[in-house]
Amino acid sequence: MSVYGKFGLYLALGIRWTLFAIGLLLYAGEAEAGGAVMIGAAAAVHALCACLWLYKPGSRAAAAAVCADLVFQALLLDATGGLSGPFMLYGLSGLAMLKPLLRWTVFYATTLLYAIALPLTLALLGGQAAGAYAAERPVYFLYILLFYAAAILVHGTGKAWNAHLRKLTAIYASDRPSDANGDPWAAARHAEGLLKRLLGRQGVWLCVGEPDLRDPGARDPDPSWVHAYYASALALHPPAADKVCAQLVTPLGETASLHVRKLRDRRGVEYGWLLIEAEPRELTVLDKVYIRLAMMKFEADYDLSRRLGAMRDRAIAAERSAVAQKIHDGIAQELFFCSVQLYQVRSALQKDDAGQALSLVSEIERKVKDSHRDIRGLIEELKGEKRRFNLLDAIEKMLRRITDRTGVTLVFEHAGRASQERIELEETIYHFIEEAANNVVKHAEAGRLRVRLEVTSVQWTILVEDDGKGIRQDPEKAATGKHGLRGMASRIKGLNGTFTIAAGDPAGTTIMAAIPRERSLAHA
Amino acid sequence: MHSVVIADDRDSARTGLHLLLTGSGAYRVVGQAASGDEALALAEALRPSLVVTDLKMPGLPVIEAARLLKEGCPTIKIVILTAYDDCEDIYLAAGAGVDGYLMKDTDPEEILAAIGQVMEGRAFYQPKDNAFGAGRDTREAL
Repeated sequence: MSVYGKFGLYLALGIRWTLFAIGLLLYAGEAEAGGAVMIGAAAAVHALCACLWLYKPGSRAAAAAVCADLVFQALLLDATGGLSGPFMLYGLSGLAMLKPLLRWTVFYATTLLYAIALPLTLALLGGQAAGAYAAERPVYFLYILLFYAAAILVHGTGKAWNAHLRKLTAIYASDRPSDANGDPWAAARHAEGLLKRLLGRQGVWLCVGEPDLRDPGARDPDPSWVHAYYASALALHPPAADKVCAQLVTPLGETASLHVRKLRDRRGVEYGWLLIEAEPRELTVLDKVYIRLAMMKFEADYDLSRRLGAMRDRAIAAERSAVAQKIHDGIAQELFFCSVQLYQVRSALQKDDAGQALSLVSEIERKVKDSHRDIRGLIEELKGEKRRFNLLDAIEKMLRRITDRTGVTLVFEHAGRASQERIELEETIYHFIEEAANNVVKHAEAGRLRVRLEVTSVQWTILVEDDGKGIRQDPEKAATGKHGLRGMASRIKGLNGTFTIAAGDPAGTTIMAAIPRERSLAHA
Repeated sequence: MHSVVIADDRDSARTGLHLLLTGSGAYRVVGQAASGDEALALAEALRPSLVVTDLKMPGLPVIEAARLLKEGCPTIKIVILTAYDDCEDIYLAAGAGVDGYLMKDTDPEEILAAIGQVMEGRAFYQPKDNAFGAGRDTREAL
């Protein structure tokens, strides 16, 4: 994985060509014949390898080219002076091309094997004993050491860079917890946890209770006793500067070295302290950058939480005030009136004036009923909805419940007025539509369900139709019980109604029922 | 005088009902329950003429308890007195064989009248207004 596109590849190829050119210049100075063919061949393989890496980096062809390149480098070294020859550094640099293909552990193992195999191979090609060959060329071991030093440096830098990026990502991705809405203390605990992870230490305290201690109307400060202890200690003995490293007594009575920062909000008002347990100069520059970034994010969250909390408190206060005003203006006045009337009743009873007492009791009863009605109205207002209590709303609610998340589109139509109806008739209609709608959802494979309910002075008409697979094969069977409508059909017939089931046009099923109304209720 | 079992999970509601029913002179409260299971067990044991019950109580759902009671003792009248105005409940109660369904904010005289009607063998359900506005459609694309 590269950080800056192909920058690393260009750098590696550039260094390799430079080392090749240096080797070539040194070798030309020695002017020994016989190596020119091998130099040309190695250069050609190197060029091929470079082209493949530039156009298809990481491909199998590029990997094969790297292996071929390493073999040709060994042959080149054999032809140009071996391990102490001018192409030695160039030869080792080819190993760097293995890294994009291998993980670090495999890379170290593979390169070590190559570093051991190379002198053995060259000794074998030169007809020498391996030990004697290597002993004559101590510079080779220096080159190997330099190679691994460079590899470890690159490896370590990459790891540190990745860790840094992960921490920055953690700061960026640290969302405010959902329960912190309007609660600055939850936001502080969240930021504290983030700082602990970033700095890799547990001794982090974010004390944000001080401004509220000065504000008698505010909620309690931090619930943690350690936070409360440090907040009180710093309020009593504030440090000399906004950012210091001080020796403080911990809640356990020990002395600890703490980095202390005074926190100020966007208006510059102090609102707390950040304490981090660390020795002087223990925090690195990067640690301080993380702290700064995390605190910037926390300050935004904290500010938002405080504003949300204040808005919520104002909204609750306004709502309570409105409810209190309504109770004061309505029910409380009625109760006062009742208490006065009861006083008068008691006086009348003491005088044995039953007529006056009865009149007063009737008045109290009327007032209590008025209060009851007012309370009912207030409850409806607080619930935010009026009472919906009729067949239409019951059916609408039931149909929504049945079709919810089924993919079936519901169309509910209704017309007419029937202020009074027999409960058994309403119940039959309700359960008939429930049964039919359940059948559509469970068996019809329909995309649309249409229910129409109409009432006239003469009858109720119910139509349930869908666009599903239909009952074309055997509508008679469907009507007589396949899907449980038989019971409903018999109930409708018991109410002198009619029931039909038919194939829809062009698809689906249409069920229709008509139930006559009772003459006495027909015009109600 | 009709024997009655009262079921409500709120003490104050049971006391109020007790006062109302005994005060009328027509009813005698023989038992009180605070849950659906308790109401069913008490009614099955005491076999009262009437059970007046709340709709939402702990334990066995009241509509289910009413269905079971009607299956075992069909002569016992059941009246639900509820503060909940969920329109579906009334049809579920009717399906379970409940004889009366009333809101708690009904006037005491009306409650007594409704219970009296139930005891005479006529069902009483909270009056509703099925005012279907012509052309009022609900179209919901899910």
